[in-house]
Amino acid sequence: MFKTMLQMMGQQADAILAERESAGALWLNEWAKVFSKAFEPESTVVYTSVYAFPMELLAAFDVVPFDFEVAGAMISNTDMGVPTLIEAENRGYPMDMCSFHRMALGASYNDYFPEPDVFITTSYYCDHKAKANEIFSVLLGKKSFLLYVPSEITRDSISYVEKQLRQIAAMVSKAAGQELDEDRLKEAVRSSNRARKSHLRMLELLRRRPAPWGGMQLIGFSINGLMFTGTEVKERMNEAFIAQMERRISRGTLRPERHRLYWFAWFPTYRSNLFDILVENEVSVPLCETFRVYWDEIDEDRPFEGLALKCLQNPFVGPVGRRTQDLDRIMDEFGIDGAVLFATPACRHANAAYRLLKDSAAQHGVPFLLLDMDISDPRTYSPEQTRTRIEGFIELLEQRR
Amino acid sequence: MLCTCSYVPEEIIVAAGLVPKRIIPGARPSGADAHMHPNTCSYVRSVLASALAGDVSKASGIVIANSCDGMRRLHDLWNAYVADVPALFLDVPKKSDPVSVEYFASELKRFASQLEARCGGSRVTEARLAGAIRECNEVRGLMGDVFRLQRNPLSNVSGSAVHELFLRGIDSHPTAFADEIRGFISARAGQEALPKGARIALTGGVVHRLDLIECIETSGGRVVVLNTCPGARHYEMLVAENSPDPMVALAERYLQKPSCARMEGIEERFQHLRRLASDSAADGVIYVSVKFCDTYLYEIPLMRATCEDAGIPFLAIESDYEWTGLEQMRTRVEAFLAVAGERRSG
Repeated sequence: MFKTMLQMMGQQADAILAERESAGALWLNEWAKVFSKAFEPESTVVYTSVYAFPMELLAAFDVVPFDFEVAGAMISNTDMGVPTLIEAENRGYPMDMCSFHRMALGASYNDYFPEPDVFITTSYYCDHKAKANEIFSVLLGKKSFLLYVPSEITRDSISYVEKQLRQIAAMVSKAAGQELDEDRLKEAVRSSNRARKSHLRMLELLRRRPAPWGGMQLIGFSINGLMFTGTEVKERMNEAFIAQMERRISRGTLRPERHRLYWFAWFPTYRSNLFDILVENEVSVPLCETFRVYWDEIDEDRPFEGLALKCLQNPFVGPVGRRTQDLDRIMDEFGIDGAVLFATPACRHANAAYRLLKDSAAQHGVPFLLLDMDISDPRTYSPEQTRTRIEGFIELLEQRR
Repeated sequence: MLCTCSYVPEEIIVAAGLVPKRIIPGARPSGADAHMHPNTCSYVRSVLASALAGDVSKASGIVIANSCDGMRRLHDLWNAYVADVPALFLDVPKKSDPVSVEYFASELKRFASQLEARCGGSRVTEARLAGAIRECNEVRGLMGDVFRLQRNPLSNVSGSAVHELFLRGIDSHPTAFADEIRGFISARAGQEALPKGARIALTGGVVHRLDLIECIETSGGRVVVLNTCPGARHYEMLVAENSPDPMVALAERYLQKPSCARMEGIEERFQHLRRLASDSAADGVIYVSVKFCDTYLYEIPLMRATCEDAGIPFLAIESDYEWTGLEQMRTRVEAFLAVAGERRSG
């Protein structure tokens, strides 16, 4: 079922690309290609957190990354979503668990996913991913590695993360039957640095009013677009989105915009009216926190240390202050009128921070909406409730204009 | 010195001249609703509610371990809204391999210096630390005797008595607690054995209140293992004495002791539980988790399968930390004890 979905996604993206340039279609096409490749018997498949793990390291090997959260999110956007959740629930996984992981476990029990060779994940963003990763590894009988990233950036913590990255390299090398090629790793780091530069150009364009891009596609790309980091594909995608934004600006085909939102973290992966309501009301989302460039350029001559530092600099590691750092400048530069925390029930690290995020937004004079809504389980979704909450918030923004 | 987790090495606190005290909050979790989303673990919310209510203002400080997402946010919120009690943060790796031990040892050294700098502790010298390690090891050894008595079908040491002992232990200096344990053991010598009943291994996370244990006992069961955060896991495995680097010895013990669900090592945890059940001749396992404590919730299906494969009846119970609805749980417990009892007689 999942494999067929990927084929259809690739075909649809191909059809669009045959007609016109589309950064979104390019992204979907590459995404479908990578996940489809994971089903090929000769592929070495590394299950990982594509949005959190330093993918430059995997780009140095002939391995195929696969992320069960991203894959589960794709299923939730189909009619198979709820039955897949029920599959996991029937096996005893409680409904208080993150729906991302219930979905992924259900899909795995239904044999939708490719066979893994190795499991690698990070201790950030949340506890659950690491736990789900280990459960998968137990169920499927494959080794797992947890990259533990401490809260503080110190000489000891950099060294600790660096050592773990070297262990991971050895583990992947063994699984892939391939020695680590230092030059290839350097090239992956160089590619990542180039993509970082183009990412900064994207942010520059997104500061413009009206925003030349944004919303759900931007948030989605900010998360799983990171899967391609360290490869020329990521560079190509960034350039494609830049070109698309520049075209929109030069042709004047920008959506009208009355308000601009800053988005904290996630969005519903099933069909919902959330972003349609925003568009209807001329509200744009030109920036989400997962699209920020939080890391420094990586030293290609010391790639392990550089990647360790990149992990440690992730704002989802350590105190919430890292997420709110620079918010003042960002709100100003992007002309932000409001902030939304998408609070999926089981996202403890995000939800438990709501007061701090809210207070931080308030310090910058920006109203804050805590939007309680599940990320992957549509059974609790109410279009009318969503409309009421979003429109109420927009009214508040209107009053402040 | 308050702490929130059994992964905080109390030896360092003792060596700093302070008394470790596991925080058992009295405030209702809902007291923190204005600061923390209600779908966060009730223990974490209850700790925050107590602090916001000023219940802990006399403490020298609190050390919040990086136990879970909820605890990390507790540390953030504490720093922002609880001004009078300094909060230290202890990063505890979720793994126990040599590089993690090495890192944790460095983190422990930092923790020791923070106790002195921010909480009024004395300097943690090697001699003081060695002394504290010996004192805490003595407690562990004595608690091992208590656990053997608890398992012994001919003894009169009930689960509730052992749990009450835990509660005293997490609030005492180890030397005083060692005396208390000796008193506990000697007071029970020669007393009549407890009545027979289904033997239950209770395992899980934060169990501070007696409610469930009493519920099992008043329903005719006998709690022979208490593998919980403040319970047996806190006392198992000694710290190596006379190590060239006591911080490394502490790091090894704390990361390698029988683990809580926050740690990697699901299969090792299951093996440990099977061993506990076998050593104590348990007739059933009751697994208890605080609502929204995901690290425990996620493991339930595999834990159930493990027990069932071993032919051990398994019951998962979720509490809201306040044990609301205990009488509804009693029905489940009674039914479970009947099943476990059948296994025993069969």
